[in-house]
Amino acid sequence: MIQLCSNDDPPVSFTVPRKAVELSKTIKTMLEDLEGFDMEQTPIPLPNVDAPTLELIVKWVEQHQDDPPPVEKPRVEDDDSDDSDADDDQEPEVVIPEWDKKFLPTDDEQKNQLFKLLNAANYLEIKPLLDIGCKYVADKISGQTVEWVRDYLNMENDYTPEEEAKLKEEIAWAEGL
Amino acid sequence: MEDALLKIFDRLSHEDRIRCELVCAEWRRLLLSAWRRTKALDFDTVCPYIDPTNSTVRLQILNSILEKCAGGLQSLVLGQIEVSNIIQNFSKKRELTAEFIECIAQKCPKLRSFIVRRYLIPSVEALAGLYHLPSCLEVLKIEFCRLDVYSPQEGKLAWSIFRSMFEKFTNLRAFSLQGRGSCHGHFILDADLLNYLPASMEMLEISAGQSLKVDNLNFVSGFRNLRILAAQRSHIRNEDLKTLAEYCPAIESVDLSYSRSITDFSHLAQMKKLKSLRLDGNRDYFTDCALLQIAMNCLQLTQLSLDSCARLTVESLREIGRCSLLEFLSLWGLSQVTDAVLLSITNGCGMLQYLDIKYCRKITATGLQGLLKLRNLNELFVSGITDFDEAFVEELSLVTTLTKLEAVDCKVLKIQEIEPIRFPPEIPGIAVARLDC
Repeated sequence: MIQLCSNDDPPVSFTVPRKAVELSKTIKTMLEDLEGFDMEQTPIPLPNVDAPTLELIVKWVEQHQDDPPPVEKPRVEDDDSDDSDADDDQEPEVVIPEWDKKFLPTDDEQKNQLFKLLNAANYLEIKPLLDIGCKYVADKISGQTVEWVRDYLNMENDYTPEEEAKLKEEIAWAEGL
Repeated sequence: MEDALLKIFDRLSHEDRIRCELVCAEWRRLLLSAWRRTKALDFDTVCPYIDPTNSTVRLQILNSILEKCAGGLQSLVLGQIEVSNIIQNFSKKRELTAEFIECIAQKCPKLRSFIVRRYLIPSVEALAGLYHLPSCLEVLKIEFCRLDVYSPQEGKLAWSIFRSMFEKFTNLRAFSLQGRGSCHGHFILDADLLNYLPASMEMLEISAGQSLKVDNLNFVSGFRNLRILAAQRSHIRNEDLKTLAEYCPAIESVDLSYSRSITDFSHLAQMKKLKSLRLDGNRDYFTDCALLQIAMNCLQLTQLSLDSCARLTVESLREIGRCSLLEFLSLWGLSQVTDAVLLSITNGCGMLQYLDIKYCRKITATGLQGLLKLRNLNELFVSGITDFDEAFVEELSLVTTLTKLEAVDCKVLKIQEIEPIRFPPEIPGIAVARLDC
């Protein structure tokens, strides 16, 4: 078992099976680097993650610890090799599993928590969790009006009326979508 | 927040990205960085709702998007090939004006692939603009466009424009000029012009309708890496197949449908790497002898289309079963496809996903039983086979994952229409599942 500590004062610690914690590439690398030390006795501090977020992370990795490892796409060396690198900005299709749908903090008052979770997943390099979270938010805001997006994510409109009018004019064609 | 946001923006469509710039200044900054990382752009998918006839607005939008990409774009697609509802609403041709192409040439210095489909290229001047695309261009495809070339003089001009392009784009791997009938006006695509293509060619698709006046393939002798050749309705001859087999060892896809001047197709059997072969409409000279040799030697074939090759008989057709990797087979209207032929094919080609046996009138219930072996069958075309009936559809749907079925003109049916079977919902209107009485 491995102990993880949140950045709170005093820190809150969680005990997690090593297999589960290794879903985080960041921690996995760290554990490999410290091979030989008795990591069971040494809590790992996570300076970027607070207790409620860490609790969610622990819940997720424990649920997914027995998942088959994600398949790395082999680089095909044929005619399309050049095209595939043109597609680097295209994210792969992701399907959010049922359990994860319920797990993601998606209620209105939890949106802040969702973003904290995504940032933690990014920092800890838990790619599948980051993928499903980002997919969830992207699906949510796609096709919505600017006002809706601002409202949904509590974003402040910091444009001056002049700036906004100018921008609106520039992209007037995309507005009616 | 920033890292997660960037990941989210990468998942947004281009339209959404443009609109989300309005949310706040921070988002605009992050979105611009997402654009700068964009290497591929499918322009008419970005803005499918813009009036396609309004060239001014379209130019403005293209300009603004290419500005955002800041010269990093490597691949640009104009026009869509898929038949979707959106396209049907806007069936008017989009125009590739001289200004449009000038904008692309100026703002995309790293462009390697340029594909334009279903556009109107209104003048030879607009065509000339393509010459100004960067010299690193590797892929140039002009597919199903209308190229307005009004006189033989203009035709000659267009010829020399293509010649200059072939000389300039020394890394060109793929060239495509495809279309039907007289859609390229007085332009003539001949073997002399194709001689100017660089030796780097891998894909050559020149089924250019009436504009194609190629009577030999001598020019391919320099294309060591040629993999794909599509030249429907050309005038190439027997010895050209020999040239192709000899000089292009990598050739894996050949489309020589309606090749009226070929009388002996047996040289195709020397192309051992052939994966895809289309010979539709070679009614008079594609014979048993050639098909037998192909079936014995081209064991990598995954696609084979022999629609209306009327000379073929049972003797060669049943040997198609030797091509055990076949996924796509089309035998539309071949009167000699009997129950024995179909059973031999279904025994040998267990990977088939697409099978077209429309109007193979000799097939009866006995032969149809063979279809039950095709576990991967996805698309099936059986119009005109009288024994195909409702009960058989049910049997078939138990063992296959059929998503498309076309069965009109089948006799023993009680119902008019059935629901498409496990049909992917995202492309409504494409699958036809009709069982007419």
